[in-house]
Amino acid sequence: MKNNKYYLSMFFFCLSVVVCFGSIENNPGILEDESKLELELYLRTARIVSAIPDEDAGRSEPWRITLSDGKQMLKGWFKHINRVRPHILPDSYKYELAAYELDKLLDFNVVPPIVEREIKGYIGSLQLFVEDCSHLSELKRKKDKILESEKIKADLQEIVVFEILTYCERNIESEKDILIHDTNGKVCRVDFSQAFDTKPHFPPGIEDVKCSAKIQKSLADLSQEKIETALNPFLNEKEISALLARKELLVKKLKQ
Amino acid sequence: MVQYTKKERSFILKGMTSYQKRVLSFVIFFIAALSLLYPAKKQCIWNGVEKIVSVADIHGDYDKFELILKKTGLIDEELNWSGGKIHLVQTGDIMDRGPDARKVFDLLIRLEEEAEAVGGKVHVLLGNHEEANILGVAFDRVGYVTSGQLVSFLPEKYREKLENQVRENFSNNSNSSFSIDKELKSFWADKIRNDRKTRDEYNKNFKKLYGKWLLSKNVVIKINDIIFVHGGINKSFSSWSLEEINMRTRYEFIQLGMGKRVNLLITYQSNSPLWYRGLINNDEEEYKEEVDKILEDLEANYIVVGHTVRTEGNPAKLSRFNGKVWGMDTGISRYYRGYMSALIIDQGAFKVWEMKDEK
Ligand SMILES: Nc1ncnc2c1ncn2[C@@H]1O[C@H](COP(=O)(O)OP(=O)(O)O)[C@@H](O)[C@H]1O
Ligand SMILES: [Mg+2]
Repeated sequence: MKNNKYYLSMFFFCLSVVVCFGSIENNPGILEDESKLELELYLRTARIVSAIPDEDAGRSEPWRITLSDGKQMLKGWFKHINRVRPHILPDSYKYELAAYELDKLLDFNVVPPIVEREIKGYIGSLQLFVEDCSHLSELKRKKDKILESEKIKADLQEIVVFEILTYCERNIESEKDILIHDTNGKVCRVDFSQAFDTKPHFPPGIEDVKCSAKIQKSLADLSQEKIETALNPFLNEKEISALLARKELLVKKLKQ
Repeated sequence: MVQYTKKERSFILKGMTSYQKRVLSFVIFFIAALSLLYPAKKQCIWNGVEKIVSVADIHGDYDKFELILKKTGLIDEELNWSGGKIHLVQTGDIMDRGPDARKVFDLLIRLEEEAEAVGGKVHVLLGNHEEANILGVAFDRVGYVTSGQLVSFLPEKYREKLENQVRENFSNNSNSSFSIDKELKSFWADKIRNDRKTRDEYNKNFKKLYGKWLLSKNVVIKINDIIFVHGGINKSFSSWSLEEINMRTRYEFIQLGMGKRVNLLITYQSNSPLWYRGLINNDEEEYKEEVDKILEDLEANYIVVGHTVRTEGNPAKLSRFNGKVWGMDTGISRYYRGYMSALIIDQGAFKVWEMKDEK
């Protein structure tokens, strides 16, 4: 009799596991669908299933997060260090949030959705972790065919514009922060926690700047007021005025 | 340099116009100021060393470190240097995660002298955890500074004052379910997370007590044909001389320590010798030519590193790239729950010493 009960409960347990996991889709094509607001809401409200510091990642101690809202399980990337300028070693999740706001202002669509959230008592930035992608550094090393695509070449060119605005240098290390989706070729740029330097000129290593008419237009439309309103919560005066100076230089350069 | 007698010196000055004298004194002042800002050269290459013992990340676990030194014959039961002419290399990350970094420092400071006196040598290299503490940013990361480490580096008076307050509260409030030790531990844990003043006191006193000693340490050294470095050397740094790497790091730390902004070439860079993980994490087949090139640049045959915890647990696997790279961070400390190890290089032969259980 006892045994029967045991098997019965085991059966129901297994059934519930199957039902549960069957209904959870694993990371659908996030990048194809541009419903940023939905993803932002998800990042703000989904349950934190696990939060593990990534020992191998670098200095900003990002945490690997698993999220679930009961229907979907997604991965996140969480940073909580908050050393803003004038600190001599700036590194802050606030700059991650600022980059996302700037990306939205320009309608650039290169920064994966990110929100401010508290996890385990730490306030930080929680970004959607983009799966099924490779970083540019690796692809270049392997001389991957995907880099020959004209579309991807143009996208990579265009990202330079965003790197100028945020003052991100382009080198072998930072190319690990440029992600290209394995199947749909969508290009993303992550890791802005040390961005927004107060230098009023282009970061080193920039030769050629080119971008689509659409981006050129959004740059031209980008007023000082818009930038200030959107970025005031995250950047100080000096950081904003350096950003404005770089934007002016950029507009001039693109006109040439 | 040409040596002048006192007479000659006064003669040189006499022959000068007051303008020239002013220029000369300005030049002398300028050079003196520069020499204060720029760190002095320190030896970082040794040849003809017969036996080397290298120990990786300790992370505040004094007991294990002491045991390793005893078992590898470097110290006796009284903890005195018994290694004779052996060179001991500690490849960085003595600090954080555990409680007793200060005890490890104090032991090493004493052993440095004792070894030197008998023709041996103790090399303490800097790790990224020393970097974080030197720069005062260790508190920003969760679990770096433990309560044990915190109190060990706090100024005595400050610590006593606060602990007395906790003790008083504790005895007045005897229904607490904690023991006083636990109470203190949680008190300090809370300070680590939330108290600016305590963090500042720690940073200031740490710098005062150990800052100068740590700033005299190298990031990378070469003994015979073997490079020792905490994280690793990648192809952007292999073209630098070891001296350049050590001097530049010292320069950046000194500048930052004075609150000056400086172009960060090494500090806090993920590919720097203190942080790089490629020698351990990169695919061996794919990167073997790059490793050969790095070794060729460095004019060395081997690199020994720590920093990246090895999970294989098999001594044979601690070496990579045909025995050219040795990753010796076996998670020695209690925090990482790995096992004790040391790399012994005796007349060019590499041997791993290891001990899996305590005692
Ligand atoms: N949102 C993300 N989605 C996918 N990959 C990411 C994301 N954020 C970071 N990564 C990957 O992880 C690496 C390390 O993270 P990063 O944010 O750059 O931290 P750090 O440079 O401090 O180590 C990045 O270079 C990138 O390849
Ligand atoms: Mg990065």
